[in-house]
Amino acid sequence: MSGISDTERMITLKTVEGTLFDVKSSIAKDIKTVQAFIDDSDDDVTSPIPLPNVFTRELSRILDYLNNHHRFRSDIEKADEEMARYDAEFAKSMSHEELKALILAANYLNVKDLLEFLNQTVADVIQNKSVEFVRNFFGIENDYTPEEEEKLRNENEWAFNGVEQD
Amino acid sequence: MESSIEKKGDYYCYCTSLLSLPESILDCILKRLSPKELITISQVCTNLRVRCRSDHLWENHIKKKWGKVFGDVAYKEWQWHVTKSKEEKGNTFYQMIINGENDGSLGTFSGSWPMLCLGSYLIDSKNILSGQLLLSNSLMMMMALYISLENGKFWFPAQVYRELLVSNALVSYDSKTNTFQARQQMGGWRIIGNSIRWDKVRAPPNETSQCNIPHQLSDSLHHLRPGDHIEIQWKASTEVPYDWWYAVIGHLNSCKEDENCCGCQHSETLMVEFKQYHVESGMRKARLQRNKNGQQCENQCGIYGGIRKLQSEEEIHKWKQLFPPHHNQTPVPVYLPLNLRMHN
Repeated sequence: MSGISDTERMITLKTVEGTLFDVKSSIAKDIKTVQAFIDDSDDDVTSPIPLPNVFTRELSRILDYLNNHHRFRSDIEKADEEMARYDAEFAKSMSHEELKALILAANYLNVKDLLEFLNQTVADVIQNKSVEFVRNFFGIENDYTPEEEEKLRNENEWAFNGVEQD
Repeated sequence: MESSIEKKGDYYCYCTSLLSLPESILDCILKRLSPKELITISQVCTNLRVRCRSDHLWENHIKKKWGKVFGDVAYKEWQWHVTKSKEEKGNTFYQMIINGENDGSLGTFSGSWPMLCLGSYLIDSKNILSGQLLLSNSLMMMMALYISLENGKFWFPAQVYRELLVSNALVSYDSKTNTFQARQQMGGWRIIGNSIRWDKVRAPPNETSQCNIPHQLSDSLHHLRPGDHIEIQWKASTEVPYDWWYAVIGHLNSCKEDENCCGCQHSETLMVEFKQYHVESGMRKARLQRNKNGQQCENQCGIYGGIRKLQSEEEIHKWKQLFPPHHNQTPVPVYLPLNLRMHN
């Protein structure tokens, strides 16, 4: 982002807990919900923008992600490689709970790239996992009767080759 | 979303169930799952079963895996099977039993005796279509189709590259070897190829008919000019189905092949050149009549059917790959039912 200068405007965001974050306006552009707020206020944002659905832990991670991606993009040569490395680390560093919370936050803030990345991360996590694992992972109650479950299992038997046990 | 977050003392607890995620996110995650994973996830709970079986997810997988070999013609056949199974299988005419096993396998026919043509064949259609898989809603049609293809239960119409020609056939996939088997319903349910690789199978070009009828051109033959790449139907006798051959439109013998005074395009005679044969080979050229759109014989050497002009470089390239390495230097072709074909 060549447009970034020392004089760039800063936007202040406020989380559920009341923590304040100062964000460059070029970064805020990627946070569509925030940008919409700015647009609605005719660019006249003086007080912190409240984010009633976003917690400090998630917002700090999201800003970390966005800042780093902006930095990578400013260096065209190494951008893809470094971004991939960063993304892999980012995905690894999250617990499953954090991942889910981050999806909710990214969805609320409408950060498209991050959301897609997180969705892919979830898809990667549940890849080759057992039904039981997926239930635990997502906190879903099994509402099948044992008979129904058995029936489904038989019906879908072909899919069960090579399932990772956990 | 509020409901998924509870305040407990001083800290927040995220009791996030996958099902409480917004629709769009859930859908986006499911779109990234493989067919096998979708099947696994469908066993998690009833809500996810409905989602994991929805047509749009499976349609993507069908396009991705089967798109190049499974065309509109095959899809129409599939729809026929679905409709048929809903209608109740009262009509025994459609009940075709092969190998004497009455497993509810269904085939479709077209044409008239003795040129009946099998359009497709679904093994075990009772289980696939009337069992749990399809239930009564059409939403799962795509998943049932994917599974039938994957398991080789559905023999669908496609075209198979064989040496220098392309044959219409019914093909079935074998997931163990990742290859296809091809059969033709002509004088029996005959195997015409085993262990056929993906790149040797293609979806029938949309406008071609699958059966034994000469292909009707959308354009008339009058549009063809020297240098055009074409596929032309040919068969040795009336009792066998047409195959497709690659050829190029050539110049008349009388033509000097000079761009400025070439009148070949306006002649009633159409020169079809099979460049895969040596210049001196009797099979190199055929002289056809432009005004006969459809079946025509030349020198009692088999029957020519319709012509399809090749539009894409990819198709032309594919044909050229099939040619023997030194085809231009070999005066006598080694393959072929074709020696019957021409005595100039």
